[in-house]
Amino acid sequence: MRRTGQDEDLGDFGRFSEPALLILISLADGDKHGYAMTEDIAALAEVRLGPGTLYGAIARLESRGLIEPVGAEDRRHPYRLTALGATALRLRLTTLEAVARAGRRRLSPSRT
Amino acid sequence: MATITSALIRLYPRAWRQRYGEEMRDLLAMRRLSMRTLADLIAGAVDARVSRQPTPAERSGNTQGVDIMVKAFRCAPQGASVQDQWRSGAWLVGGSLVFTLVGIALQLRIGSNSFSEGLLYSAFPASLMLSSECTYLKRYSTSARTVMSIGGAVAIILMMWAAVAIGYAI
Repeated sequence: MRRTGQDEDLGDFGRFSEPALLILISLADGDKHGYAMTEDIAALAEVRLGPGTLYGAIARLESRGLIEPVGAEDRRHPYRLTALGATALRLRLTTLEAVARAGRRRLSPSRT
Repeated sequence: MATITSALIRLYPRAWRQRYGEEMRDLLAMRRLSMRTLADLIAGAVDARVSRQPTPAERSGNTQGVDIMVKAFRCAPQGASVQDQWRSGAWLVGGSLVFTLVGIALQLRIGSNSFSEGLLYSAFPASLMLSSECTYLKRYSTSARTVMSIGGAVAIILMMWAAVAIGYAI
């Protein structure tokens, strides 16, 4: 499977790879600030990101132009997904779907 | 609680605090400060210091060549603009010239001696150390950069001086 530049960028996040993916998914349905993201991700994936992990992933996503701050809401910056971020998310989800399909196929009873 | 939060946020680099400090403070104010959160914040601070993320502005200032260098060598400059690279070049050429001229002047004035000879030998490596302040060391804080570049250059000159002096003694 050919990996694209954007896909590799997300893969380069190391231990922040999964939090970064969850943040992109969280922002896919609208702008959110840090607290709203952690609540959304907790509901979505039953994972509560710590502040260090959350902002480590936000910094990486922002520095690569995958998300951007919208404008201060009091002291809080909501973030939004950029066009590049949406493309990277689509590519990563496509990869994960293919991996999940392969995994399910290998687990199917006919192969045991 | 607010004191602990402030102390933990101070573990992060200054640029990080300026960008995300208030947001993190707000987030921490809305949740219970558990041991897990403490560990997460400390790990996050270590990460922020070790793998500094360039801001979007710094990133857009990079040339494609520099990006390739960052990927190829990993220790290459992050966020070094074209201007920084010119400054680095100026330090390298200018420093080499100045150290060499000072070394020659000392040789002419007081005759052959281990210090001036050491200075002549270390002109280029010491200047290279000074020039790294605006490229390879750019990810570090101003004080750390100053200590590493000037301290490194002084250490090189001293080591070269010692080596020449030992050579004379033998």
